[in-house]
Amino acid sequence: MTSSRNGLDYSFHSIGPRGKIIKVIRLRLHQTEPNVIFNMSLGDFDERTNEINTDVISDNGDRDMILKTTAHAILRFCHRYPQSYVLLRGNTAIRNRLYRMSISNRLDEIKKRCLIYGLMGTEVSIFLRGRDYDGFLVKAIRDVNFNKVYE
Amino acid sequence: MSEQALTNGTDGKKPPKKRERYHFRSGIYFYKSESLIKFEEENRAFLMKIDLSNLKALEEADEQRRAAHLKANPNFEGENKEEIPSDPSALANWEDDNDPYVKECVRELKEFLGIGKYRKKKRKIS
Repeated sequence: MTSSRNGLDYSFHSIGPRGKIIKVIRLRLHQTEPNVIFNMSLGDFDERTNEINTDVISDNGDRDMILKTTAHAILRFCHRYPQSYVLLRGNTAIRNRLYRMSISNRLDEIKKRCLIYGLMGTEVSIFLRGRDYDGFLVKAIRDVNFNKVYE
Repeated sequence: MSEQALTNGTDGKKPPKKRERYHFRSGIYFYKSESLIKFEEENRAFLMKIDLSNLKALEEADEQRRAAHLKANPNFEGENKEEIPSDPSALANWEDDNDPYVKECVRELKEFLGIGKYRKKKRKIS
């Protein structure tokens, strides 16, 4: 995984039956008041156009590895910008569900380092397993030692 | 072809706007696509309708719960303990990372685990 100097863009490779695909994670500031919130986008790099496409389905057989790497990138971002929230949201209901399942599966691990909230309708609440959400907010826990290691 | 097109070579159309490039340290750069712009706009709109007024309270309640948990479990092996990956080969994926911070971590870990060029030298038996 490589990142931009400001720690807002990350890239890594997805390797599978469809070859080597460059994935890009982009974090951009959405609002500063009342909370600092960055939006996270995950997409495929198109080498012909040099564009990032967020609505492609790579189907490269390494979904779990991509999610894990994305989680690493978010942790690195949280470490660098500890006061900020990251908005996680899939561009389809299926992707949202996938994010929810991944978070649920590793919730205990996530909670060691981050605060995580679910967004549903117009409300924000503590993330609970088995509940549907439209999006998620993640933030580093104050004073957490990120231990220089992102599992 | 119009006179204007002959002068600026754009067939009478406005020249395209210069697009902003986003660079990685690896040398790759990218542009925003229509889908990315749409996605970011949708998320902005989504966030606008969320009532975030209780977020601060939720955060404080979380912090208090954590503090109480740590007080009740002083030996809790949670976020304050250094974690070392059990599989040293996991570090191989980090080799090409240009982030100086991560490089330093990898170096420290390799040193700690005694792998790569940090392998402990065997003592010569005379």
